[in-house]
Amino acid sequence: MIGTVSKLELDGRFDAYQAQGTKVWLKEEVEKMSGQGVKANILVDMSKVTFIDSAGLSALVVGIKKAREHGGTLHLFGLQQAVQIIFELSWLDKAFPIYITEDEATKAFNS
Amino acid sequence: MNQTWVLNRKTKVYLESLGENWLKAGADSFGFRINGRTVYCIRSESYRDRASAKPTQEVIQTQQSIGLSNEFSSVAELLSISSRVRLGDSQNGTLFVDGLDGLTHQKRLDLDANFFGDTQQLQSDVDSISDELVEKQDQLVTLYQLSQTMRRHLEIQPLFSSLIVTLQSLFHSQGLFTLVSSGGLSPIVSAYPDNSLLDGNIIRALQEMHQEKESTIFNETDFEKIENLLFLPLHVKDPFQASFVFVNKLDGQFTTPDLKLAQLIGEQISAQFEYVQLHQELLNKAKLQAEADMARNVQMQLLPTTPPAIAGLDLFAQSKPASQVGGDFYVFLPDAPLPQFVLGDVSGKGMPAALLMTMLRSSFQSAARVNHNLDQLTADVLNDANRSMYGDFTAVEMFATAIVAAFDLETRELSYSNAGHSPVIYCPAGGNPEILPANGPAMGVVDMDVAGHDSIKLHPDDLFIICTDGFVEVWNEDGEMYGYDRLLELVSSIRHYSAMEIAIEMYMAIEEFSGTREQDDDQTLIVTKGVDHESK
Repeated sequence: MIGTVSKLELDGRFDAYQAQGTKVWLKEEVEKMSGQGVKANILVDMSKVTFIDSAGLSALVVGIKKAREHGGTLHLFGLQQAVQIIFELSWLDKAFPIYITEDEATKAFNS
Repeated sequence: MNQTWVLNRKTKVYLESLGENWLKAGADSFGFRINGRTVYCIRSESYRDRASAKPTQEVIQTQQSIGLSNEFSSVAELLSISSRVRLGDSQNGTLFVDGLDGLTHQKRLDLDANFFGDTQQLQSDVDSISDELVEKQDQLVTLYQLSQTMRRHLEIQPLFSSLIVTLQSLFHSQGLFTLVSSGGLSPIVSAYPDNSLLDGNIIRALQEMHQEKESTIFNETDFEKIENLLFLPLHVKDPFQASFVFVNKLDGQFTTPDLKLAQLIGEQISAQFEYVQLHQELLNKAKLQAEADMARNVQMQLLPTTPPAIAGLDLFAQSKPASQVGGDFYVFLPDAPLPQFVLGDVSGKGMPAALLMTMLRSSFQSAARVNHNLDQLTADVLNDANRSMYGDFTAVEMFATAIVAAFDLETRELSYSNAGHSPVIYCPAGGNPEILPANGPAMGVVDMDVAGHDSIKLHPDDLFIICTDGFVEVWNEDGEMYGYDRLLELVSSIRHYSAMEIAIEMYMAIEEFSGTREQDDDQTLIVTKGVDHESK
């Protein structure tokens, strides 16, 4: 099962500059996995992200919606406090499955 | 130059006048030979009469008339003088007189020959000057046409096409090739009037010349179909590059004056090309600017700075888009069972965000018209708007945060449903300002009715401020973010002001903080302050 998870590592300021490329990558990855007949499960390592704005959130929202369309989902892990606060304030901590460690986030795909 | 000498009208008239004088002086004939071939000859009447009679008689009479012995069979061969004419080239010309001789006549003929030679030289000079003048006049006319052509065209492609025909006729070339490239790409070669002179070798050679950008003439080439060519690079603005190649001059070879003329024209064309490019750029910019201005005007009209009066509240709203248009919006819904207002922020920037924002604004207005259940009024409105917009949000890969608030004057309760929007600040008259977290996900994220619902009391002097992240995610020159803590401190320090004054202070604080650093996010807010209804 673990072999069918795609992992994305983000770092620094996750804003409009990074968001566009990330959005494209997420969409293509989901379609590729779906084309190979596997669930589009995506793991996003947020541990190096120091800041996220609405464009960054938007890319992740597009990612999770796309993954869900194709029978998978998107898990986030390792959120720094500043980023965690943004997720809480925007209620997105309830829309995204968020985990502390990579191990937890990976295992959660099986449950 | 080794041309065949031709007797033209002027020369003939001149020789005639010389000849008549010689005949008057008693000559039998006068003529002019070039390289041994007689090209002009005039004979005396008496000589002609004699020639038509018996030849022997003619000879005898002639001999008698000039007193020579009968032993000579041909007087004409005997009595004859000639003089060399210098024609200024390799031509060998001779004036000859039959039937006369002697030193005096020879001197006179020499003078005639000198004079004739000089007039011939002058004549040929005049002819070549007139030819040159005609050629120059043709060139000037063509140049004039060229400049007219160029002025008529303000787009590159038509300008280019119209130049082809004019240039080809100016240089009398059989064909014309053009090479056009952009950036580092290899140039596209086109040929006029057709491709018959092109082959792989010539294309490769031309592409090399195109790289080198040097105007050159080749009057001998190794190419099968190309005898000579003139290569003319144009100096146009990067990343574009263009070259003209004139091939096979119809009347001889390309000369240095041809090259100079070509360079001159090349400079003119290059300047016009740059002008056209600049014109296009400015035009496009002006068009975009006009469209953006129009969009901004529309958007500003959708966001009134004077909100409708709501009893018991002091309200102020304003939006400052960072670029021409943005995704921030607010809307007041005063006609619902309770007065409501909405503030939202569509993710992304520019026209796409602005378009989605106007749709979202309309969907809130529709939702407010149909929902009357006071128990969860704001949640119903938010869910309705989310449902109607969810498909559009998904299609354009965007989402929006928004907050809907409703005020009940009876209970002084301000209820709200917050779809992921932040910051929302509540500051009770006696307490400290605090951030109210969202109670539902952003719009366009979940296709379900999940809007939360909370309420606070808004008594006189209590503050409720909704703004967009343009008031938090602002950076100063040192790279520091304004952040929530500074915003809360600021609100605390200006809480006693009116709604409008608070808004102005907030805008000023952000401007001061960001300094020279340009803001890159929209700044939109609604400041709501409780006021005593009776005193209002």
